[in-house]
Amino acid sequence: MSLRIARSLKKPGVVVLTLAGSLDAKTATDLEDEVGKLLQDSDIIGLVLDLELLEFISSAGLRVVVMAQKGMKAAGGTLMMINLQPQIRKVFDIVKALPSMEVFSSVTELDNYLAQMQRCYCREQ
Amino acid sequence: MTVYCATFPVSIAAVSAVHDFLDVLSQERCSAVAVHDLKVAVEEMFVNIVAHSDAGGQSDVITVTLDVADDAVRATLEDSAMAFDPLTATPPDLDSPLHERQTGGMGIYLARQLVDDMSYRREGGRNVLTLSIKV
Repeated sequence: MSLRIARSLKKPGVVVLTLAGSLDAKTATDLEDEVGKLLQDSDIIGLVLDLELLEFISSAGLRVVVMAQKGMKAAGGTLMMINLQPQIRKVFDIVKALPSMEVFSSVTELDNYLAQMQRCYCREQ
Repeated sequence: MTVYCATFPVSIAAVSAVHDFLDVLSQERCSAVAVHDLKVAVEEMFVNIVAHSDAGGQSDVITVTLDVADDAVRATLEDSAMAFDPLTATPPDLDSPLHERQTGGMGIYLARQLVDDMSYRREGGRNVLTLSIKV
């Protein structure tokens, strides 16, 4: 199974990558390349990974998610994840990855967080 | 009991083919959760063998055998690289913050947590690793 990555702009500075298929040792580099490109954009303050259609993740996939989180943090932004399916959440849970991450179970929850983030960001400018 | 067997090149590029091979379990009345978890575990151990082959001790192929019984599936990975027992690998430090962790060891740990049993033996110059999961 391959990995399909769709990119969209949720609001200025906030990019959504919708992942579908398999984030494994073979496909993880595709996401790594995509995130690398996004991080070169100095205007990015939020990166949302929408995992609703992601069917599979292994430790190679986890590594890229952690790398994306580090990269976003270094750029002064935030990595967020939404719609984790049970088998994906289980993998994150086993390695105790979720407490360090911004994970939302619904779009409403994410939107509220983004509105809050935007307010903080505007005040800092 | 049904047995499936396939050989794969010692390469990360073969991971997709390994996944496709394991998809045969979906037709064997295995639960979707068991198939997913076994796929993760087999990938982790496959990638580990590839990494160790790079480090020395060449193996031409990795053989994966699936034994499907009524209540469990056993996946056996065999290679002829130098002896390596993944069960002796140091577990990752899961209490430190995610971004500070060393990434090594995470895959083996994940695999061990996802299967019900993992065993290793060295037999006739081959590494034989068996993962079992209840279905």
